[in-house]
Amino acid sequence: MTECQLCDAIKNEKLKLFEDEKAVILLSDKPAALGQLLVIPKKHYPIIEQTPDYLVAHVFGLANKASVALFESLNAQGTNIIAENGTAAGQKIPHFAINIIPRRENDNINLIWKPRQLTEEEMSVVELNLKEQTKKIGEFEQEKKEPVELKKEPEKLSQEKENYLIKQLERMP
Amino acid sequence: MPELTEEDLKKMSPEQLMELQRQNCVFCQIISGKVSSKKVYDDDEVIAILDINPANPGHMLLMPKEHYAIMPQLPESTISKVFMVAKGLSKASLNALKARGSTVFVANGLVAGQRAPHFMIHVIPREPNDGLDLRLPEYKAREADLEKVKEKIKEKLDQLLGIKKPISLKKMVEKLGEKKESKKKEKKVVDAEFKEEKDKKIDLDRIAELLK
Repeated sequence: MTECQLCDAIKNEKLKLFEDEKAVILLSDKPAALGQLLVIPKKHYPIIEQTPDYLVAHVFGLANKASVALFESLNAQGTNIIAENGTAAGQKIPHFAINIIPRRENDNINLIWKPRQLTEEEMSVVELNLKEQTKKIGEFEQEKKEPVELKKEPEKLSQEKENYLIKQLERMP
Repeated sequence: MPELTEEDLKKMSPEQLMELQRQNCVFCQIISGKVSSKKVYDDDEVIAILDINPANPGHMLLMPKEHYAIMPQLPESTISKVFMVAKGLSKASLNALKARGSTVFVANGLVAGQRAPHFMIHVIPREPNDGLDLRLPEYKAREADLEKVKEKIKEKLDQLLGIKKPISLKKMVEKLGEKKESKKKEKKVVDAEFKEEKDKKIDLDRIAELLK
């Protein structure tokens, strides 16, 4: 048992719907609505900011397919795709996860926020500060391919060949 | 602009309908610059603007510049790009606004809260006790229900992800048998037709007619 509930959940075959080398899709057993799915990377990253770019792309690609699967298999009228980063966002387990929730009319799930009004000045300040930081968004991290290990067989073969040759020599009259 | 009736809409081709959607899409107009906005990120594929009625200061709307009404319409490469940028925006909000967290939120469908026919991702900076009621409720699902729903979803998911069901040896033999049977039947039909033609006497007059 590791300390991370989601790292453990990855091994739960009962709830697993899909697995590849980088991520899994699980059925949530404590859903907001039955059929809620979780797409999580196998490696433990607490929040999206710490997850490598290529992995973020991969899991959201899976999330898209999962969303379509919910539409078609459960006749959902809508889906929400939500990633909560940090306890301030309501994240309960510090393992980056994407929730995909099937929605229906009158399903009593309230994910609506109260829109706020900021002054023009406040908005401008926010705009400037964000623009400064978004400049850093540029090269996206690619997956590094692991170097292939060469097996050490050639030596053994040459030894066998040697013995065979010696045997041949010994047989010659 | 002349008012379009339902009849007019029915007569339009899918391409024309899409073009109509684009013309009426306020976000496409923002992207093309016809409507003003506060842009915080702009590259050749995607753009992020500040929501004018934000949930929290710094609430960003991130969207592809191309008009896609719903998520499944996006090409895979665009999905990858837009979500990698979402990560970047989340990071930017942590640094720029000293936020303590972020919510990345997508609404597909009206009932899910989709308010515009232009696919977008909300990146909302969060603070503890910021009063946003974006908490996902939880209830303990029954095992029997989970099993049933798992079967349904898995079938569809496998289809979408291109995972083929492993076929048993018995079924394989059955299928091969079926193939052989159908081939035998085909041969019989062809042989019968050939025999018919053979038995017909050669009608020179008929051939002469055809060659005219």
